[in-house]
Amino acid sequence: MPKLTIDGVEIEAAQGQSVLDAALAHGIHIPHLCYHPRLKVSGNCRMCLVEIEKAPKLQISCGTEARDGMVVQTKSEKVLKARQSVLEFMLINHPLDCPTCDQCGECKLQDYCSEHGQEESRYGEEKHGFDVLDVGPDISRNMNRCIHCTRCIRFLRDVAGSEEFTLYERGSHTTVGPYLEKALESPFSGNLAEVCPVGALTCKHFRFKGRSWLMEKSRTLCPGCARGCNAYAWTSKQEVLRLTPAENDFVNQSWLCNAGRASIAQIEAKNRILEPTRATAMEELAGVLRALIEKDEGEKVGVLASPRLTNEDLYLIRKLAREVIGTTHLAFVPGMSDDRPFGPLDTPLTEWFIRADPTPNSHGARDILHSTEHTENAFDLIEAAEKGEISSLLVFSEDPVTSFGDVDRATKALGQLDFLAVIDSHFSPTAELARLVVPEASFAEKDGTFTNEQGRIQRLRAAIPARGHSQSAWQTVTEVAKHLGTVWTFNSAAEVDREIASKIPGYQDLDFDTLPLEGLALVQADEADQAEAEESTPDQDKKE
Amino acid sequence: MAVKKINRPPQNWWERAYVFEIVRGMSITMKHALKSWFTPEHMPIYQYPEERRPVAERFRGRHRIRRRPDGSPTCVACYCCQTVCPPNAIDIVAEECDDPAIEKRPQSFRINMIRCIYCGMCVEACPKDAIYMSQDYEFANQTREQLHFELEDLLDVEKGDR
Repeated sequence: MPKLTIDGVEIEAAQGQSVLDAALAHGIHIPHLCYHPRLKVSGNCRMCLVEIEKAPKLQISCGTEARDGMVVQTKSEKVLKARQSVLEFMLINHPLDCPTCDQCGECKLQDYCSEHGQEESRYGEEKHGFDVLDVGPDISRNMNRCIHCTRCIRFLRDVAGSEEFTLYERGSHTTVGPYLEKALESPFSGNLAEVCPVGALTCKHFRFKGRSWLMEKSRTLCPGCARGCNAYAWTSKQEVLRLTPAENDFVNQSWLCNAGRASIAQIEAKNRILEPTRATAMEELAGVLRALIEKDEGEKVGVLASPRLTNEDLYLIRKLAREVIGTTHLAFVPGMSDDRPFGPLDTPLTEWFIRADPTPNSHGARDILHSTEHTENAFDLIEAAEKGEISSLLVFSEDPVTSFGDVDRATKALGQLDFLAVIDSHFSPTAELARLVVPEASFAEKDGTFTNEQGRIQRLRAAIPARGHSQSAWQTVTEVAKHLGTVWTFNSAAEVDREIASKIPGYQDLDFDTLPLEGLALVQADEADQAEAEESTPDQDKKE
Repeated sequence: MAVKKINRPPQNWWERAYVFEIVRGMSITMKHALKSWFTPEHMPIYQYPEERRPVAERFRGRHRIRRRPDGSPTCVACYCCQTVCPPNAIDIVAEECDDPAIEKRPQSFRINMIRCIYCGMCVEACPKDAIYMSQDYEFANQTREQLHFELEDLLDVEKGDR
């Protein structure tokens, strides 16, 4: 392990680590632009120049390996002068249009110029401008602002696995752009907005929607697939303006796919359900269930849950179905299994990143719903409806009419029911058939946990208050259960989690408030399954 | 509650009659009345609606937004004034501009003139020198809504208006 001195502080670097990496790891910030911790080193921006004793000239710290006995100066006069000159060169053709630029506030060039740059340029000539080029629906390119750090080229080539960008022309005409001026096709092109240290590549969907310093960000999860990417939801005036990746070495590194970024569209979608069918919907729903329970026909109620719901929602749905209604017809639509490795891997993102299962919580649904003795999948439930085994159906965030495959048959089966209630955030063909529709909060409006494909419990945080009269399914279920005479006292997702931790095998370490940022790996699911199989869970009394 | 009694010196009948004090006060009033009668030009009075008091060069009155030669607002909706405004009186919504050289323009630019404290920070913050404070202070109105000035109310009436 090489020991070196940076700014008079002796630090120990890892074998083969660069001076820049070692400095950053020990809290010494060296300005850098082309260096990105997840990309290959290119060393072209010259921003991270440092003075190394006995070296003839200043060295780039990102490309210099830390060696034993090195003495590095990062704030000497020579280094500061070099930084100032590097920045002056970068600003020669930079338009300085920070007021219009979307990167403003998050721009490394802006930060470094205010910290290390000089006030006035000595360049008197006219600035060189570039033509506008459309590079696709997700990214807008402004070549004038580019500093030619090649981060975008390296990201697309080495990480995303699609070599679409390159450098062409020379000198001040040097252009970063797609081959043959083609539009970007990579499903990960959205990451270029974060990869680009300046405002040359920015997100088209977020264009001019807000300023970074006027928004609040909350760490949440992307609901797009079973990976459960960590993301920041950026909000302003109670509106989610964009979703950007949050670092998690175990799940998504620092990337997020374009589809995941677009998932915020569902919050303001036109078909959002905001109001229940009637103001008395809850009482009505409880009334129908009470009548069946009193006739001892609880078994005739079907409950369809969804892997789009949080663990808390699913747990209370199960509790309602098993303990209050007393039915075994509890099901969910299982997500597609994916035999590719989960990663994170060093191979291109296209090979492992986006999972085949488009729901965020299939693992959680399996853990929570299958831990009762008998559950079936949604298709059995449709067949049960056809045979008349169930007379009422509660559907949570699911659209069995579409997912069943045979629309006519499913519509007919659901038409035979005496009662159909849909609790969902968006209108669907099933909701059209329902007698009662209750609004459900979208992913950005609810607190809870998702268990991703890998079995990692991660926290979903509400970024905005729920729209209209929508609420989380666990709140709806608690309300219905209260009308049915239970004494449930769940007031927050944290309280539901306390019960999950005591009841669901594998979730015993779950603590909502202290859940680590990188998530919590499940306690060996296989062992838990076995333990559960041995221990038969007796039916608890109806109505606790 | 504690009450402190103050013993004032007793007044005699002459003092209680206030005759001298009334004469003294009236003489001051009459002195000014006669002065304004004979030399009105020396009095600090403006006949307001007809005659206006000159305001200082740097007076901070209602805001104005400069126009480009083609009449469009100079503002590029950078949100700097909104950010710096101490009472949060400014509300901007940005939109794409058809001219690629300008890129961004305000879709709406609203200043709540009742909330505004006329500190002039927005003018200081503006990177495009688009907003300035004119010498106009006469915009009293009937309702609060009418004092939420939109972009059209704020734009220069004509080029170079000040």
